[in-house]
Amino acid sequence: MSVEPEVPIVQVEEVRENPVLYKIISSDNHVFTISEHAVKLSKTLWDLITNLGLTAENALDNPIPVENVNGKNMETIVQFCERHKYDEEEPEYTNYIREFVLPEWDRQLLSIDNEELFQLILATNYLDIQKLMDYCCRVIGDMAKDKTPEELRIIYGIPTDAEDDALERSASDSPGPSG
Amino acid sequence: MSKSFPLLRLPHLALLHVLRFFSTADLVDISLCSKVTKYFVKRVIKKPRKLQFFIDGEFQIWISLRRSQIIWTFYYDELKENPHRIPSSGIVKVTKWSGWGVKTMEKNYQMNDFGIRNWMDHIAKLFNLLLNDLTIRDFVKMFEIQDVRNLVDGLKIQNVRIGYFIPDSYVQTILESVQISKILVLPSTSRLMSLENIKFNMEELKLELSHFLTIDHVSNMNCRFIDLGYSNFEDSQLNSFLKSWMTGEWNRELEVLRTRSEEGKIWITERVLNGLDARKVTAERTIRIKSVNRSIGKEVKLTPPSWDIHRENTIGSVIIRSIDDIQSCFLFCVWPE
Repeated sequence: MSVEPEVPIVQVEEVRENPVLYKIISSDNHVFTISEHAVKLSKTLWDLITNLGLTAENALDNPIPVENVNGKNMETIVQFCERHKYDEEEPEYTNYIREFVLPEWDRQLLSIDNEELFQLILATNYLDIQKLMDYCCRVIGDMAKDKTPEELRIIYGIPTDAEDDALERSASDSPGPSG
Repeated sequence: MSKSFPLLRLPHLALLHVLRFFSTADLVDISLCSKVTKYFVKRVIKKPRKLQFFIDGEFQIWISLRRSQIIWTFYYDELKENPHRIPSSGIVKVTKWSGWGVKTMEKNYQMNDFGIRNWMDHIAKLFNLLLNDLTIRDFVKMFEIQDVRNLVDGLKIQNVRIGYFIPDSYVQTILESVQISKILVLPSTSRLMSLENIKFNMEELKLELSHFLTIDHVSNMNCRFIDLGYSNFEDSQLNSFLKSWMTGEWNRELEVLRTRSEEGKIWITERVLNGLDARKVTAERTIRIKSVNRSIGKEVKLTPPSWDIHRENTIGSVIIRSIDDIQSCFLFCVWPE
């Protein structure tokens, strides 16, 4: 199947050292190129590439469609992966979770609207990019810092027990799909 | 300002991963928002090393983490307004302290209709932990006794430490209301306390004065380590205690019992051992006892002369020593033959 994108190819970053490049098509038909080292940060994409048998020779001729991720999120994801493709793995993961400080470049990248951040974390979860997931979680976790329970309720849109019960009642009262 | 981040709309695994990036204090706070958030927090929160409750000038819950402590101080503003009732609303102060005693975080917020007992239950359930320590000082006597009962009723606690100058009625209420599994430290009580509803089933009992106890009470205790502090038992009462031990009817867990007489009272070995088949041992011996916690040595030295009595496959060694001819110490150690 050949895909004819209607929008221009997005070159997120200059790649170096004659890398192997892959093409990814977002749900809204934006096309991205991504280097092999960068795409390996996504377990989902790398498994797909491996299973499809894509090689240095045929990679660019076989774009990979990713239907669950739109162009905006994919652009952020590709930028992130290119930025961190040569990072070393974090040694002690448990302590690292609580203690690591988000680098400024990444904080800028993730300074987005809450709804966009939510969509990005869904995309990251789907593409299984551990590092970006951690960075998004850090941003979301930092929102809670030194906040009161009532402030947390607002920040994270948490319904009260009474609201949850009312929602459950109305769901059980409403007729099912068969009427 | 953008709208809320829809945390609870995340897929569950992603949501749990996000919560792992919250600090413990923030996790406790978000767990207060709803049953749903509490459910998720319970799945990621790490158990602290210790959970303590202090009724000591303030109402405080402490949790000790690996390298820090978090302290919740409850409703101090309301206490000033109405010092006779234990409040259920007011300002909660949450502070975090580093291992070096440096305050690294403080936040204050209003909570309504969420009593201090609710807090204790919430935190204990959240961490799936029993209360390790309850420390109660005379501050407690400010409050109506029924409020105190409601506060501690049914609590299961490892260690309870009750301070000086607390009226007997309060001590009695507290001891009737809680279940203590490891250590009870009770410095002072008078003869007025009724023991009908109090069970001494903890592993270790440490009293400073045991005048409120009869020798039958002591015989009915089910502790491994009993320090009665000062007692005013007669020789004949200690003798009947040893006789009832030899019949094997009570406290098979007992390892050590010790007490001392008040000044002016000397216990005479011959009278205490009267009628018992006791063998004198002149060698120094060391016995090992199970340790309730690190503060109690695992070894007890039996300095001669000691007197051995027997029950089934067990030896009980008695040492009675006079201190400056004005008072006596009584030590009874039990170990397998």
